[in-house]
Amino acid sequence: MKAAARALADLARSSTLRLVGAVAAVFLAAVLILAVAVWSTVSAYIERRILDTIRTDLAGLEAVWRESGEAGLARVVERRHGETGPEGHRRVRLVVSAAGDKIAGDFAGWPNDLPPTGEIVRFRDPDDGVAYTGMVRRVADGPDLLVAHDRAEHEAVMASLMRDLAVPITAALVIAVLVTVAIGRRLLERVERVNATARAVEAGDLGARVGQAGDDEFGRLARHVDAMLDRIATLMRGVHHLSDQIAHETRTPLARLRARLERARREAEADPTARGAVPALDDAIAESAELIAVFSALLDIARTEAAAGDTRGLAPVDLAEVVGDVVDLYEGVAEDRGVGFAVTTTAAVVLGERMLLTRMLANLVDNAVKFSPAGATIDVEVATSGSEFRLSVRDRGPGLPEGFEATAFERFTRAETVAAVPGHGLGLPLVRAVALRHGMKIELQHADPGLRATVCAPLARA
Amino acid sequence: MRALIIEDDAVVAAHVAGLLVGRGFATEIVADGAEGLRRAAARPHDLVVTDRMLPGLEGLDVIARLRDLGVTTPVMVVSALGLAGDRVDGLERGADDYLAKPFSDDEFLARVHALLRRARPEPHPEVILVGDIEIRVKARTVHRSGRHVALSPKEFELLRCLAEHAGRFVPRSLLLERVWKLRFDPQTNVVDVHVSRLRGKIDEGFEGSVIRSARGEGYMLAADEP
Repeated sequence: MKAAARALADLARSSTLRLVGAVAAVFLAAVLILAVAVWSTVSAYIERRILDTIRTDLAGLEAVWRESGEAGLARVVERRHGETGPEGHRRVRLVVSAAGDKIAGDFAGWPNDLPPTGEIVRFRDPDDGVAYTGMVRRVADGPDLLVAHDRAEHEAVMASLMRDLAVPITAALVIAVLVTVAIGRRLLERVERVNATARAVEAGDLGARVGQAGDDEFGRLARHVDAMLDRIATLMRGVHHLSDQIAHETRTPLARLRARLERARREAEADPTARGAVPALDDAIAESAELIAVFSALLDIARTEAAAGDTRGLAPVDLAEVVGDVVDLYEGVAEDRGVGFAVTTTAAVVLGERMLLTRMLANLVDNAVKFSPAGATIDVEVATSGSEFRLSVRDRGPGLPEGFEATAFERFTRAETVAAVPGHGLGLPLVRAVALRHGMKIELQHADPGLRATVCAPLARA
Repeated sequence: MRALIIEDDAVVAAHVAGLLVGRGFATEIVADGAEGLRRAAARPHDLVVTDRMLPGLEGLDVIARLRDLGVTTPVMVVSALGLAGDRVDGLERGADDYLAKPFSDDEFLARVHALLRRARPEPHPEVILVGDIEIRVKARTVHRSGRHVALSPKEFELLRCLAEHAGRFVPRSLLLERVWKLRFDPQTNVVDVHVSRLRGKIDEGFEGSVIRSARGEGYMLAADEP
């Protein structure tokens, strides 16, 4: 029910559908105007036909009078008494002498004191109230003649006509609605393909293309979007290539630096006169290791971000197992600092790179352990609700300074309050890069006391 | 033992060769991928160390072609492309180990040692003896001087890995990979804590520690009595 309501709401928001709906409404209005015009024309036509019949009838009666006089006319009128039209409606006649006496017919006298004007008359039967339309004819030197038809005959003919027209009109309306819906859906579909492509690219699939043919505006839009995406892909490839080059070109000199330092250290150790240089060389090796670590972390972040949305190499990973591994890894460190873990997990299988997800959680747990006061507990939780999972790590440390949540994910950003704790400010950027790579959302919230980091995303489909 | 080094950076190549010569290897250096493939296929080697971005032929292509030719020599990739995905690519295409540049000498040597050990045709020993420590691999029990030492599963793996490289230096990254299956270095030195616990158990009642730490980068299980 809810889904259907949402789908309807979505449709209502679609401007394509609104446009198509407006066209359909104009079409329906045109059909209505046409119907009204047809109705009034047909109505007038039927009225004319009825009056023609009445005129012919009157002319016939007059001819009878001329041939066979009043007695003959009376006979004919009596004979035709009770005559009905095609739909079974009454047709009445009255012959009144010039002196005003009834000679023959269906009424005792002029009904409702109709004056014999020779005009079209409308009146009601004084006995049963049936409405009539008729004509009066004054025959020179002869009687006055009245012929009238039950007015319901007119409506009956109209109704019968409309009954015959109902089927084609309904068919036309149904076809109009179906065609409208079909055109609307086709337009929506074509726009939706562009939208779906944009969404896929936004989610990280840079290879997504609309691939829509046609020389109309939709085809052109699709081609423009595709060309734009090709351009972005080219630029991205350039960036990737550059970062690979930088990685190669920088890592090699670093590798040499490291190799030379290690050799110098070995030689210094072997040579009793140079042994004094060993501690300085050890420091230099440690510094180079630090430099390499920062450099590697930056490259890892950049390349993990660049891999966002690329589903190749992703496999089902149970987050509960990842939590188990990481907690197992950190339990000793935490215990030494007097910090405990409270772990609540449920099986939550996601599509991902296990090593990256482990590293992401390790970074979060690492932070939590570093910032926890002795005796505190770190909550690690994996929960699922519907088709979503939620992985959270909550510590009871100092938390983040006000307004730092947004910048905490930037490279080399560290809160001033934690200046004493070692680190380069690359842990959370990597966490965000891993989350991005897996299409997951990450959030930092104040937990009073402490900080809660939450990662959430849809579960892998079973 | 013969090692082939395919590396276009002369300094790194010479350094790697120096390390291997120190371990008793006769080394041969080529700078071109295609030439490396030709030499590796022409005569048997005990070890091939290759870079990835090489003139002539990409390192991983060299390995793939070697494997197609039925050459099973252990191959270690040493590359600046060090992301997890790169490693997976390398291992999937036939590399036996993948080391990101820049690396430490100890790490390189420990990995070479592990590679050669794995490549040996004889089955892995059921019992590992290092000094007075006896490790029963299948039963997963450890005795020191005949006294049983109760270890957690991870501590057992840690000791086993150290024992397999007894007398040699095992870098933290290798321990993380073998014991925890982790291919990254956690910010906090979690390994140190696990090693110190292992020390507490294995050294109980003995003087000094049988596990030595070296230059803050890794650990060594002393092969002789401490």
